[in-house]
Amino acid sequence: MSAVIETKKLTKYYGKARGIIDVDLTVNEGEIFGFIGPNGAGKSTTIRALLNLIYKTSGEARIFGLDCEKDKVKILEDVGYLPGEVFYYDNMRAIDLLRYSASFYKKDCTRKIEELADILQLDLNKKIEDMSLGNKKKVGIIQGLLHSPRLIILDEPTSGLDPLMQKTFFDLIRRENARGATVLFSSHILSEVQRICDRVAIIRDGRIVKTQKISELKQDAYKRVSFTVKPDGGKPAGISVEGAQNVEVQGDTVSFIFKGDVNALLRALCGYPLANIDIAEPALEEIFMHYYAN
Amino acid sequence: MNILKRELRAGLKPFLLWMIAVFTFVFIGIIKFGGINTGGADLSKLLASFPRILLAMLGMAGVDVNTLLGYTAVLFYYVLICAAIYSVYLGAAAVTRESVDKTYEFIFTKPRTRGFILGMKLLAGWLYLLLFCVFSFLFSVWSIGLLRVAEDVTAQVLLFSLSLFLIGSLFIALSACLSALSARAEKGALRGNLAFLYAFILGSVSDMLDNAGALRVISPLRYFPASEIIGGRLHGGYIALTALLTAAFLLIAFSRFYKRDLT
Repeated sequence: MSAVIETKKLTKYYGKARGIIDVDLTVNEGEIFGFIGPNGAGKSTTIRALLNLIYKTSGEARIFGLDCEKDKVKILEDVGYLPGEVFYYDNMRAIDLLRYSASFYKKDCTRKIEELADILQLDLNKKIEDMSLGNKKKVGIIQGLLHSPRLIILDEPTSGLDPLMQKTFFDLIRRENARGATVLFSSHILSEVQRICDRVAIIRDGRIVKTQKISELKQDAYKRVSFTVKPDGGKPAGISVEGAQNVEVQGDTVSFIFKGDVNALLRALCGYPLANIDIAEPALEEIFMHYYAN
Repeated sequence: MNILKRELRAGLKPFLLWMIAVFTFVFIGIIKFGGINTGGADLSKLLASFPRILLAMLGMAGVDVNTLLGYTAVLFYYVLICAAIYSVYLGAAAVTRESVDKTYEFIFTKPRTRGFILGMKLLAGWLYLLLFCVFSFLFSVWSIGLLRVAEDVTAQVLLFSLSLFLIGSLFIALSACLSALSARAEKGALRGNLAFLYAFILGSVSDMLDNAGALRVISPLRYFPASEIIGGRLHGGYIALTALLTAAFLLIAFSRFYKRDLT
């Protein structure tokens, strides 16, 4: 499987301020790759360096095997980009903007524009300045996809879309992916990354903390454990087992996060007169917080 | 061509507003000359009592406003100021408009080089400047025709218009250059306007001196003074200097714009 996006030690400083540091990222052809991190972690900086909106301080950034700075024009012929905040020329109708956008590509995008507008239920004859944030976002989605790009870069794409439209949007992205497009999906909303991505990279303070398959990420993470002892079993003082963290005792109930040997956990739990026990798969948010905890 | 078309469409409204203002100013100004000319009042004597600094600032120093050519020269000085201010706007807008309007993530992620996009934007600006000069020429010739005077000043009006284009070009390039050098996009136009103010003050100072000497070289609004145009010529050296400076400012603008982070 060839890499569509590849960065090696990609670093960007804004003056002395940290943007991203030594970002190594490989997005393979045909995958939907999640890029998660909170605001200011460096997601947009990485994307902007890939799109050559900003210049890297050091390192390498390649798309389709081409250098992002030297071969920018060739790369952008096959890239669709949806920025986090969409700003367009206010005096234009949606259809005018989309035709303008289409005029940059060597193909007829008319049918695709109509098709996407139909799916997203967008009135193309409306002026952009009169549109709601959600509808402006739809214009952004169409302008990012109208030329059927090989690589789709989405930066916080669902903000402004209602839940129903988000579902439509995810279906659309899956369809584009099935067509063969590779997708880089940047977000700070973990549930949507979990919903659509194959692999994910977690970025923290400008550095990639981990890159994993979504399924592995969940397996490799902590369990949330909560148990309640019988009323005649006395007040539990907590639990002592290697791998337990953040132990909280509330009356008869003990809750903690666990990562370690589950057999040791079960042996420790057997020492209590249990009334109830809950060992839950952690939410992606909790996994995420683990990577963000100092 | 798509970028050029969009830029021309986007710039049409401000251009029309400028043209309405210039037309009104030139038309009323020329018609007023009819009153001065036939009223018998010697305006030159009145102006001679004014302080030289005031005359310099009004663009009337060393010009006989009792003659049609002298009067037209003063009017064209004000049109030149308009052209310079408009050009500052055109140059700054070409470099900073997309950043100020936050549309840069749309246009600069299209498969075109930055240089091409900036080039198209500046070309649109230059076309509007050219139209500004052509219409200023046509308005003036038409308005002067209404005076029904025997004197033919078309050649001089053409030279005035040509000087507008040359100085306007210099200010487009200077403004684009200063905007490209500004870390913050919003400051681009401000710096261009300050440069114009500097040129205006230097021009006025230059007019106060009997011999401006080297001061003229750094006073772009005085590169093509009325006295020379009335005499039927544009100074070749200053045409070359204008072209050279325009090219140098453009080179810096393109080079800096190519390297800057777009935010």
